[in-house]
Amino acid sequence: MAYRWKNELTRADVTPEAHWMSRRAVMAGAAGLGLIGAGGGAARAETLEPNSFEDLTSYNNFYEFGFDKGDPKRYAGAMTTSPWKIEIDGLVERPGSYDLTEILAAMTVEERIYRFRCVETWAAVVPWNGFELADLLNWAGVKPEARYVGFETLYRPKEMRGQSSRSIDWPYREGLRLDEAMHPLTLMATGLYGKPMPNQNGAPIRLVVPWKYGFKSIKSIVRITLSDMQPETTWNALQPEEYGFYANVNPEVSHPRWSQARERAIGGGLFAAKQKTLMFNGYEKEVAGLYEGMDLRANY
Amino acid sequence: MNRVTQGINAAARRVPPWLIYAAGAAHIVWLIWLGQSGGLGPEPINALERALGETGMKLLVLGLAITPLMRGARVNLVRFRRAIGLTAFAYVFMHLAVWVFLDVYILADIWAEIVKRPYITVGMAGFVALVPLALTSNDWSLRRMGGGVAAAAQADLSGRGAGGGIS
Repeated sequence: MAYRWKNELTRADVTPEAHWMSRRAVMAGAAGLGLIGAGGGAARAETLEPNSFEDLTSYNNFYEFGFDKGDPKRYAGAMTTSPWKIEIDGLVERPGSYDLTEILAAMTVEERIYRFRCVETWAAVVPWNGFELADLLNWAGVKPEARYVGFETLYRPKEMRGQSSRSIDWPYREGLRLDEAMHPLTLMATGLYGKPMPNQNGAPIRLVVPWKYGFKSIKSIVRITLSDMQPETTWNALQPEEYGFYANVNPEVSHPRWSQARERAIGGGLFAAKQKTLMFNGYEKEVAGLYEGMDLRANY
Repeated sequence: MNRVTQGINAAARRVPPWLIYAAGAAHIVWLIWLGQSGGLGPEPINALERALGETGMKLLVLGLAITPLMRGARVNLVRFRRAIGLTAFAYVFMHLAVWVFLDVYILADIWAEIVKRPYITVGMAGFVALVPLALTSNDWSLRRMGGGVAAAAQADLSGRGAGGGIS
């Protein structure tokens, strides 16, 4: 169902109309999701100003095109994104290989302005366009015994020069628990700033899970598998002590090699100060319930 | 001595060592300017820190290679050794300064990182080891300490000192 999550206030509430089209500033309310009017604590009202299109498309981790942050912009143009098929298989009612146009025809694309927090401690604010993963999963029909969702990125070494390096066991894989996947914040993004998704950002379709570290938000998805077992995920398999399956943004739990307490917003220049990292990247009200009773230190 | 070696040595005699200081200083200023003007991308602090650290490391290795080059291949770049070493130190110092003042900059965190993260502990120890070498590399210090002591200290770094204590 589209529009299940809303910023508490609209852009028009913060900035005069003449400004908001250019500044794209919004209020990120922690309310929404039916929490509005529940009478709970004061909603956190904070101005979120998206990074520039240029910043968001020139500083990327997409190892399929190289390890340098500038490599994806340099080399991702070689990737063919049309036609694009997504294989939906495993514990679903209607498994199959679906053309992306067929999927998009059935989905409602909306804009979502989310915080983005990389495990490497840089952060951004991104105006995504996309639809809820839940809508896609319901469209394919999830069997009752399904507990997890696995994802795979395209594997095409001829177009993805980084895949000739054996440092990673391609294709890149990620996964979510089914309740995380069905959460209204979990987005299948098809665009950025109202434009089709740039190749370096994971064209034509990628996952966005805003309360988790960026590596969970897998790019250029060609396969979605429903299963009853936790899927193997690339970084977790590579460095289990450093990257957990959950990878929820958590300022209290350090990466073994660096603290996660603070982050630096990209685009701030040489003298940008760090800001405090928020629990679940600022989406605590929305998602903390998913992990009730869980030891987040053990399940990092 | 073959012709290539002779050529290198002859060319080296024509290059004044101060050019190395000037090039290093200009490059550092250029990197900072790039960072400030967007030339290092949307996250310039990390990029600047790495560029300074990596260049410092390369120069350090280059400086350490000069004595073996002289002995093994008779390539004489000895007159550049101090300039290369001190320029390497300048890069390492700037790398540390960017880390302290632009990257971490919270006093308690700086200490915590040095103690907690092994790679930062090693880097910090390396810097501390370089400080006396840089400070004693000027003519006055070398004269005052006498050839033996200063040479031994400097030799420790380049690996010439056998067992190498300052004794």
